[in-house]
Amino acid sequence: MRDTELEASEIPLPDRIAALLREAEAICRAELAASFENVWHTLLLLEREPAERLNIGLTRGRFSTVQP
Amino acid sequence: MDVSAPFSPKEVSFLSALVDEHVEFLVVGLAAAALQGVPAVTQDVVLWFGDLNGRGFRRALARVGATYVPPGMTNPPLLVGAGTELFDIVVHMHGLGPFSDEVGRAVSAVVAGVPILLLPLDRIIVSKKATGRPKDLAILPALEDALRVQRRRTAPE
Repeated sequence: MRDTELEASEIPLPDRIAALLREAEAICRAELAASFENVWHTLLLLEREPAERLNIGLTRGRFSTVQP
Repeated sequence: MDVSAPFSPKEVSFLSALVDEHVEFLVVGLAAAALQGVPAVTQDVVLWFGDLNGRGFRRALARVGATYVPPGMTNPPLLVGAGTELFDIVVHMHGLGPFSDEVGRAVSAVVAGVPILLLPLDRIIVSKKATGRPKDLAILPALEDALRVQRRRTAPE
């Protein structure tokens, strides 16, 4: 397992989060135009069911004053 | 109510009625993007219908007590009635082919027990670029990065 900044922290990462972190890093290495933030949040959302993903987007949309 | 459920019971009834009445529709825009993992916020769910004049569409509306308001001089096509407020409707998508072509590329999802079809991320990107509005262009990086994730995960090893 490759050490990452987060993995090297004092808080042990759950295996799944560590795997997602490695995946995000690999994508960003391969896709130089990619934003780590976007990739990371996409990976986290893909861990959830589609209905949950939409619910998050709608909930945050309802409480957001500035829409993209 | 399930806090993870994006739709109210009335909204689920409306979507179920559309499916039961064999009405062809696609979820498009940022709701479709969010369902596919894009970290996007939205205030509505946009539905693209193939045929707003079909009997099935009218029957589905009647089942939930909703009404279709056709486009006028100033208003776009609208749905009115309990359970439809969340949904906006369109009959054309900028930059895309006809509904009959795009529905063939759709990806499927099940939300609140209702099977629905989504416009795929690559086609959402095409439509957002085509509108050229600042708010559509602003979300492009998130859409494109989510597509990168999707393609990497589905690419053969």
